[in-house]
Amino acid sequence: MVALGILCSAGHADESATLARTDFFEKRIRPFLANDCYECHGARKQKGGLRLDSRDALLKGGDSGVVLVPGDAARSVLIQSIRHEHSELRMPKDRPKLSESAIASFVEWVNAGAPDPRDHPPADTTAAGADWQSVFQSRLEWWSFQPLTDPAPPPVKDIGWSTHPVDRFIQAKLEDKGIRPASPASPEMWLRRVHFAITGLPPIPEELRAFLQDTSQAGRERVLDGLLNSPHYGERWARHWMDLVRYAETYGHEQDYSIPHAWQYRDYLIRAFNADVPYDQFVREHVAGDLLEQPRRHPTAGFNESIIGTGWWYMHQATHGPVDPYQDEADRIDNQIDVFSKTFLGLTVACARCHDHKFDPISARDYYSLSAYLRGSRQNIAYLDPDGTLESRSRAVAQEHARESETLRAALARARDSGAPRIAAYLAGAGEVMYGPVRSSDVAASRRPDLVFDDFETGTYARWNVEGTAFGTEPASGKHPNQQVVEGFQGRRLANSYTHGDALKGALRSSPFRITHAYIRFLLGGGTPAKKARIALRVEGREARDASGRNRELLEFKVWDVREFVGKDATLEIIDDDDTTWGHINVDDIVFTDAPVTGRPPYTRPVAAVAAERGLSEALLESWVTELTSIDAQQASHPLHSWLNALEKENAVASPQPGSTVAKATEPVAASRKDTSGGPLDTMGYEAFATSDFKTWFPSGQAFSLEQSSVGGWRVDGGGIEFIAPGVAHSGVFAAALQGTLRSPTFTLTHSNIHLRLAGRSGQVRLIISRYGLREFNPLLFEKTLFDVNTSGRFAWHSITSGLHRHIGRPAYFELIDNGGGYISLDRILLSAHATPPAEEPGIDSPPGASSREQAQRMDTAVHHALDGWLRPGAKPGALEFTSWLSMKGLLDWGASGQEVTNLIGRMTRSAEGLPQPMRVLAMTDGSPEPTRVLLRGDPRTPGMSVPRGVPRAVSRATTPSLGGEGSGRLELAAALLSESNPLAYRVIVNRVWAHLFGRGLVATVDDFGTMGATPTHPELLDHLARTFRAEGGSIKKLIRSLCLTRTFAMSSVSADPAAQARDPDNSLLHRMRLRRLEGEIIRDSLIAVAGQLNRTQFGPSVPTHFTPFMGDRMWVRNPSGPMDGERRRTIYLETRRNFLSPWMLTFDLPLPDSTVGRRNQSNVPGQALALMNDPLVQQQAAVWAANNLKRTGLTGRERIEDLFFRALSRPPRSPELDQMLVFLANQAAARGLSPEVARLNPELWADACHVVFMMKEFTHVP
Amino acid sequence: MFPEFRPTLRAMTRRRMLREGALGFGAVALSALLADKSHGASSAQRPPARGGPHHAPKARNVIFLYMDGGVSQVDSFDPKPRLRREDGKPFGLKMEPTQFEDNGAVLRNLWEFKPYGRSGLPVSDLFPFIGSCADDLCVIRSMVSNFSEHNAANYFLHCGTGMSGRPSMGAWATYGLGSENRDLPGYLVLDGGLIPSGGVDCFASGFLPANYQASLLRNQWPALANVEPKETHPRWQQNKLAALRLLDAGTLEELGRPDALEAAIRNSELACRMQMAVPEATDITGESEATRRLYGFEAPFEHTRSYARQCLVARRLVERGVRFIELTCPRAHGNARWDAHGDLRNNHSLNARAIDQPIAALLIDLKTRGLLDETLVLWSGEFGRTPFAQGRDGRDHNPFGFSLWLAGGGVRGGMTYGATDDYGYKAVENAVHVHDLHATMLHLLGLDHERLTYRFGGRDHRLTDVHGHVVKAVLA
Repeated sequence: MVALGILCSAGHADESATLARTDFFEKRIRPFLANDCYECHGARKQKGGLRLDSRDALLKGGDSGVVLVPGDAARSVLIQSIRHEHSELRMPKDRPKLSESAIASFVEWVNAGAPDPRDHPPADTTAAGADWQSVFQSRLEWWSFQPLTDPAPPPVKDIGWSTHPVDRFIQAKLEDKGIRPASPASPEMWLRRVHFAITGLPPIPEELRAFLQDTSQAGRERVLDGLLNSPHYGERWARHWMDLVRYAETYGHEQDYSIPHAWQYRDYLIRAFNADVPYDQFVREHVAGDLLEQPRRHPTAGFNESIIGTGWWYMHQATHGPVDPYQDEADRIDNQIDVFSKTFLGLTVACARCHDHKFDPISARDYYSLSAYLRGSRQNIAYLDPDGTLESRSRAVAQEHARESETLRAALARARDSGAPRIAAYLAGAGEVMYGPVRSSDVAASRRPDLVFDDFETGTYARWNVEGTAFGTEPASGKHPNQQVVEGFQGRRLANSYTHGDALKGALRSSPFRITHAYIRFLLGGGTPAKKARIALRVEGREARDASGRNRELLEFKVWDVREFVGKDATLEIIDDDDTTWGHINVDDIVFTDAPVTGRPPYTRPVAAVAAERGLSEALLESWVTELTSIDAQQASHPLHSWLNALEKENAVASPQPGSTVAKATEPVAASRKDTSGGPLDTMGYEAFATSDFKTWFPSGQAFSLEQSSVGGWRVDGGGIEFIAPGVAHSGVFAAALQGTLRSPTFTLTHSNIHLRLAGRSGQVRLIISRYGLREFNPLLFEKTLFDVNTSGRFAWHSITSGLHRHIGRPAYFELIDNGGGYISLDRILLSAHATPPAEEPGIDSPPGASSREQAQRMDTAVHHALDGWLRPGAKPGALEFTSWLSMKGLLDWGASGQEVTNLIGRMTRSAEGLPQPMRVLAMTDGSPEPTRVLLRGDPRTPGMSVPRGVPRAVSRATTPSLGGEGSGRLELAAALLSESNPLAYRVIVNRVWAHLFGRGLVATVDDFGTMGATPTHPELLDHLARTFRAEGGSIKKLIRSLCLTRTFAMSSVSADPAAQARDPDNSLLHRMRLRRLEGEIIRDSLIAVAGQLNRTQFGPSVPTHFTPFMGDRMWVRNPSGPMDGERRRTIYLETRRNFLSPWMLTFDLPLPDSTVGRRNQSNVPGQALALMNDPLVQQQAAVWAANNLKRTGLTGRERIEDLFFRALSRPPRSPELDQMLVFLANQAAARGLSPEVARLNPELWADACHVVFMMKEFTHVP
Repeated sequence: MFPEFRPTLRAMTRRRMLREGALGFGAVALSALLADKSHGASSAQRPPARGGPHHAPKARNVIFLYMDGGVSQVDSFDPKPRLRREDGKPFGLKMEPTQFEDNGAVLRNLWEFKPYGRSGLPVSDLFPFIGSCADDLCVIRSMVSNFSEHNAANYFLHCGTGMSGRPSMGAWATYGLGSENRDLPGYLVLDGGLIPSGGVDCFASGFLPANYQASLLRNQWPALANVEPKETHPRWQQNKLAALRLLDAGTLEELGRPDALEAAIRNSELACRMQMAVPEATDITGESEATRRLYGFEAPFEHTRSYARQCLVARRLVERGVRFIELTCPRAHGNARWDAHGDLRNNHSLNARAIDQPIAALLIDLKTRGLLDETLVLWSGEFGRTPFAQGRDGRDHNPFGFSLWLAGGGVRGGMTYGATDDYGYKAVENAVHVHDLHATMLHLLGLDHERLTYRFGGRDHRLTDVHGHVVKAVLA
């Protein structure tokens, strides 16, 4: 650095001197002014009327006069105040005093005349403004951003104290201060310490005795190895990590909805700690476990472990009803950034959401660049292979499918040669069955009259057993008080469970009946979020059908096809087991019928006769007739509807009269068809969502095979074949059992209507807008963005026509979901201003008014062409869909190949049998990169400049952030975290381990290594640990083992040196071990373990929360209470519900799961004592413990007391303690009125003794 | 006697016999042993963590009457004649997004207003009893919150931020001032039946130590978790605790008398006393007939009787120096709270019926006993309701302008402050933000909201974040 004074004394302002002066100001003065002064004395605030951000303002001074006397540092108030020599002013206010070297620079500068290049006061600067660069540079000088050093253990005077390098660092500081370290703790105490530190369970007496046989170094190593290899180690250390990532299993807020599969992440942690996964791998899995080329696999089950590591991102709070979803999204991302940066970097990056960080080298720009990684990512419920067979089996199914393709093609060619599939012939036959003139030889019509099971008009529930209160004592006459208007029921009465609102529960169960008709038809309304209000058909005791209302009070027509159950005994149940909003059901007019549409005439001729006369297969003709007389065929969208209409007209029979409610249900569809049907395909005003071949989409799971969308695709569905047109995404090609989700690229919502052309069974589509993910729980927001896809085997348009206008301009993506047992298939997506989809391109060209005969002929031709086209590329998609539909409905005549196709279908069906269900886990997955903007003041309504994706510069040290590329870029983020140039990652983790073992970190603020955090007590030791840890492969177990073997760890918690209190009052130098209160989990686990009751079962779904009267009993406690003793599992396996955290755990400082908490409070409140005195669990475990103690016969009272102390405190009672216990027993026996003989083995008396031991402070504190 | 215990007894000195054998004597001995040290870190005993008030306080305690779900301001404390004129007509102002987006026409106030007291403060017919205390009320008609959804608004009202995880205002107050009762926690919530949506997080200590979190007292016995001994006879527990004292005293000596252990022992003693003090404080059998009548113990509506008990217990807790007491609402209208998305008339009638008389009685009782001057009573929901209808007969959430009132504890009575527009929709004059309410409340307690800070996660946190101004105009 050029000495400024010399230059100035030269007395001339040549160019180089000016430059040097400017350089001095820029490097030595401006950073401090900007960092430490501008906040109060800048553009926004002028405390004391003083402004320091321009030369003129600085020279002008403040309310109390001039602060700077150029050339005279001593007389300058500025210098006096930063030296803390001024009578009143100590600057910078509320911040650390400037370093001596900084103060020296200021003095030098003022004495040199305070040369200052700042001509103009700057405007109010926003993110990463003009001064940021210099502020950033000065802030980077903070200790934690310096590269890791490699300090050798310092020399010490007493070389006999320890040879452990870690001890040398500790010892050297103590020797510096002249403090004598504490004596070693007893071996029992050491053993107790390592047990609680490593497994969180007290040693059992056998372990204690074994150790006392050999307390040498080797003996201690043996103990440590045993503990570190115990399965309980992972349970203890996973919990530490769960505090960092605010682990929770519900989202909190009003409804406390469950976070799906959250517990899998907990199990992942336990396994990862037990497997001692290297820390770099562990971090990589947390940040980008879904993206690893070589994921870590479970050693026996074989599933992908790495991906589960990403689940923590989504353990934020979430609400179903944010009024502003964009604010809500910004808040969720903020929480992710907050947890991420504190956990892995020990930095409070989230402070930079609204403005550049006040203290640390993190700009708002850094914050938003970091958020871009999250904006390129999405929540996924990943499909994992549970046992290593799912993936290989699904590959085998795919291979078989490829082989069978050839068989199918050959079979089809032969069928065509034999004249199949004879569409026109079957239609003509069906027409005759339905309308042909009756012949004398015909057996009478095959349809019986309808049977009304109950229309509730009698005003009683005579046919039903009434349970509960929800349905009242008799059928309702319309709506109940407070209910919306109920419409669409027939007559005057209906069954309506809204009695007194949604809260009541109840059921109507019918007396048994025999199923005589092909269909059960009824009217249904109401709604239920969890499908707990429903009508169900129980056949021979097994539930065969069920249905729920669609959140409306308009009763709608519903038909169950029960042909397969004809002749069997059944009951009907109308159940309201739902007390939430929209938790009720309305039912009316239950009718048994052979023709689901009211008013349809019976067949005129028997199927068998017609089939025989016409040389058709009777079974196939029966299928045709059934389809044509089904309720589906009454829908305008039905492929045979137009033919049927023509036929009906030709036979001069009035159109069937569907029930009025049917008309209501189908009217809108019909109307929309009317507008467009017959016209040419009009795509004007529709914007096609680029699907092309789905190569840019993101599949997850096994179901979607994107390679299949080429010519000649096919699949087996039920008894038929679906011929798949090119350009279609399909989840059912190989097997309906396979599951998966296919996600679209992110797009900007530009229109208020979306039309999707879909087919499927049990499929689901979600439109995710602004990453809002709670739609599945509650329809309040985004009602229309989630829907089921059940299209009876044919493609149909589904339109989202309301609710989207509010979200125009927002990023969105689609999810096609197939969670097994069906499929979903997507042809096209159109975005449009029109609320109706374009006219369907007709699969069959029929002129308007064509006769049924002509239509049949055209269908026949179209199917032939389609099959030709499928064999040789060029099938017309509409005709192919029609053909597939026929096949899947079992209406396609395969002629000579019939048996062969049946066999093939059988083989394909069998090949998919027994496929395992995937294991579902909460995970992150890549999406499309999204443009990210700085939000001014953190407000989503005021977006500022665009920023590229990037790692905060203080971490990456890159001058320009990376420009990103495909996907989220999280691998790059993980690499930056772990790179050599980032010293934080390793300093932070070794400090965390240190803090868990020694009760306080070398840096006390374990989550904040920034300027507002504490500085390290032993910086060299911290770097030594970080370096060693990194060099040795990031083994947490090794680190723990090494630290537990130090003499420091083995010291007593009682000071050996009277001088220590003065020289190291808060024990920051570790002149003795720190006494600590155990965590709430460990106290609970210890109670149960000591009592001999611990259920050591590992893993699996959590034990449900035990609700107590002190947790509130709000209406939305849906879940039944779990057991009081938590099945005696370790606490880590008990459910963590945000709204119902265990009072026990809260009393003992469980951190609220909202942000990273690396260091728990160790509060001391009377509630803790009350819990140990009166909590039912303590009382219960004391009784169990006493009973176990008494099981051992032949012991004296003293021996029993000794055993209690051994088990609970890992030591024998001291002599006065033995006396005190004996006196207590005597007094208590007397108080209980027990004779000496009875008292000796009295369980209650001994439970009292056990309880006393549980209450001892030593039970809950480890010295 | 237990035969095998005899040798030990014989071996003991007479003095030890005397000390350890007699019940309770050990406790005395230990108390004496500990008396010379003033450690201790229990909420009840220890001085405030941050050293007491910043300036002379006006209020010593706070009673927060929380109106769960949000009361309609235009039906209670903010009369708007225009609503009656335009009833059923389209709403004349731009509507902000609402929770349900089922916005209807202007809905007139369903209750008439009358002037009360010397001040002539208008109060609607919902609250005739509270109206009779008008001269003690300071009604703020220009409240503004940031959230129109219950949970966020609740967290915001209670903790100054829209998420859970932060300390509640009661926690801040106790952290700032400590408690004045050595046998009771400083922050209590009397659970009237409805825990606010958002759960007990509304009463959390957040990042402050656990001793500042609220203890939830139920409206029935036992009022507090684990406060009731499980032993059949008191002596059985006394025997256990006597033995425990001796054992813990031994451990304390053995381990060099570490502070943490000593504090834990002190908390054991406090816990013992709480077993007595909590029942004593919540036992109202000794209250006079006149008092009970005043509060409404003879009212026909069961929820009036239940809230009456809560209000009376609140007064008893104030008498005993409990710093911050919140009362949650009874289930006067099922689980609906004041959240009248429909059926406004029925909802507000029932809720008002439950709380009107007990609250008036509380104000009168406190005043009679000279306690109102040093007790700040705060009545507020998390937001108000829209002046236009939701559907036909409800009102949606409205954080843009709503009413609350303060009484006693250094605020001026018989006044209104601030104003909403002609419809009672948005605050247009002297808007008071929730942060301002917090700043004012802390000011009355003698605390400067900018100086009451706690370092967590890398920065100093305040109840008021970086906002808040003391509303000087309401100070007496």
